[in-house]
Amino acid sequence: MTFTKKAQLELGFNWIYMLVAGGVILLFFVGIVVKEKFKAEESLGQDLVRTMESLFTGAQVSEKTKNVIDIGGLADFTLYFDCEDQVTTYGLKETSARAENIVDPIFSPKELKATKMIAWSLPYNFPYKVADMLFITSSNTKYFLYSGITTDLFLKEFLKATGTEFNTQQLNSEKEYQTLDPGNNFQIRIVDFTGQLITPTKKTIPSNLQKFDNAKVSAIVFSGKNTFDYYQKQGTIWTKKTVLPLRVISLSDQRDAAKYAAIFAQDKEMYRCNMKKAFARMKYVTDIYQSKAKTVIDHYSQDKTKVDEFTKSTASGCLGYYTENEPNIQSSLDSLSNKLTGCLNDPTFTLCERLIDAADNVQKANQGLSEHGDCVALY
Amino acid sequence: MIASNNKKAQLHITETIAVLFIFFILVAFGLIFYARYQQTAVQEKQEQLLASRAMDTTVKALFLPELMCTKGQAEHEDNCVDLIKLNAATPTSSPPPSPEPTTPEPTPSKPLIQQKSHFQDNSDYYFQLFSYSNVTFIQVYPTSQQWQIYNKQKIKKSSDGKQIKDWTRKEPTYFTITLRDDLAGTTPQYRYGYVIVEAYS
Repeated sequence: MTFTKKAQLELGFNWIYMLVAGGVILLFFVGIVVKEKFKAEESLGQDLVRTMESLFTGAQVSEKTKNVIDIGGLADFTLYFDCEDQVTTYGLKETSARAENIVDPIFSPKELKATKMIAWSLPYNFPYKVADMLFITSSNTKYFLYSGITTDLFLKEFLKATGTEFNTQQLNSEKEYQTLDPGNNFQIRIVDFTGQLITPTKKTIPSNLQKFDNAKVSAIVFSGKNTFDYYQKQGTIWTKKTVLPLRVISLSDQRDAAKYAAIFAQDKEMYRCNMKKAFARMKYVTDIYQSKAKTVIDHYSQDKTKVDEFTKSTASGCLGYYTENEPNIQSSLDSLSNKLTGCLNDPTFTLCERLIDAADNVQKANQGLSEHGDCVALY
Repeated sequence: MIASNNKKAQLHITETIAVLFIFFILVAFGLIFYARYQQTAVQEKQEQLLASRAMDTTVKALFLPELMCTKGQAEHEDNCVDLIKLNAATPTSSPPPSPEPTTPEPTPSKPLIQQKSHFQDNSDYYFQLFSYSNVTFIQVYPTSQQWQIYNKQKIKKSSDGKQIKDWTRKEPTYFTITLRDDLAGTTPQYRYGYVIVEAYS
């Protein structure tokens, strides 16, 4: 009798012991798996952030080329971009994977949730190369472009430049706009080159877009060749997000990086913040050009004192473009530099628009130098 | 009979202890192996990152708008540095360096910041581009000359208050370049050289 009880006790103890030990061992391995899964997700996020950092570097080398990056592994995550005080922050929402960038102007929607991210860069020449502007979008961010009956030249260029990689569609009439099909896209941007499709009086949102979240439907309306306003969906109507039209700050007509930037930027804040990043870089580049101009002026001033008549007359002619003619390189660069300082300290952005005239003067003076033939051009 | 049962129970306990002991030894081995593997993986990853950073920094140095050879509104010249701009950015240049030891010295023999170039003056801004690295342009033909445009090393203070280096690895990358001299004559003259980017980690 005693033996049977002992055996029962031993058997029960063994089973309990095995269960506890087995449970602990199982828990240990489950813990490792959970930890590894968390680490893998974090690592994927960090890898993406690092890839993007490399992408920004690569964009400067392969300017004008489009990079389509497969981010299918992160399809459940939302990629965000923000710009404040000339600092762009980007990363994965609700994770620690994030990075900051104070150098590259990055124009993008605020959020991306897709399997493919598209990155494209264009050089910003104002008038000399200042920086590479980077445009980020996704395969499921759709751009509807409207220029009325007459096709806008820039629209033509935009469609050709963005090619098949970008999710774009041209609208040919107001009727097409009213009945547009947003498809299965994450967000929509309407680009109106006429300034007549969306106005403070014509602000009803097409019925197919009304089901979208407010933050996911926006519009940019060009009221003139180089002025524009941002609109955002608010329920069933468009709300204008800019009090006064913004100006595209550029000189070139072709591949106008600043105009492309306006289209890819989410809103006024992102546009201005990133343009200021470009102007901050421009200040440093201008410092170098000012020093270069000084070196060239010293060189021609020395040549002017030489006996050789040809050297003397060439130097005299070139010096004119650098110091005497109107506009000349030296004073135009000084003016540009001063205006840049003003722009960078101006929170309203008004002073930045005045850069155009100063940059135009530098361009004219440099053109004069290039046409003269024997002179060293500034850029 | 009772004695025999006691012995059996003792044998059981000893057996259980032995099994547990071996189990924990195996677990310990597993953990040690895993930790070693992780350590090596982290080290490899760090080396990869350093190599990638060195490459990125080289690319950034080669395509600096501050130094690149431009041609008006046309495309810039690849892998070319405008000598006037380079001299403007680095006021004084020096002959090329003597060969350096491959392993880093315990304390830098030269001052940590040698010449104040445009990039060094504005190192707060350019740190985002170059991070902890040394960027030097070297001309090899027709004459030897070098321009150190940026040098920032990780440093720390030693117990006696001296500044000592706080990096253990240096990854150098080289790239050939041309240097365009617009002031050499009526047409630009090209010189040859290379850029060294040493990334510190």
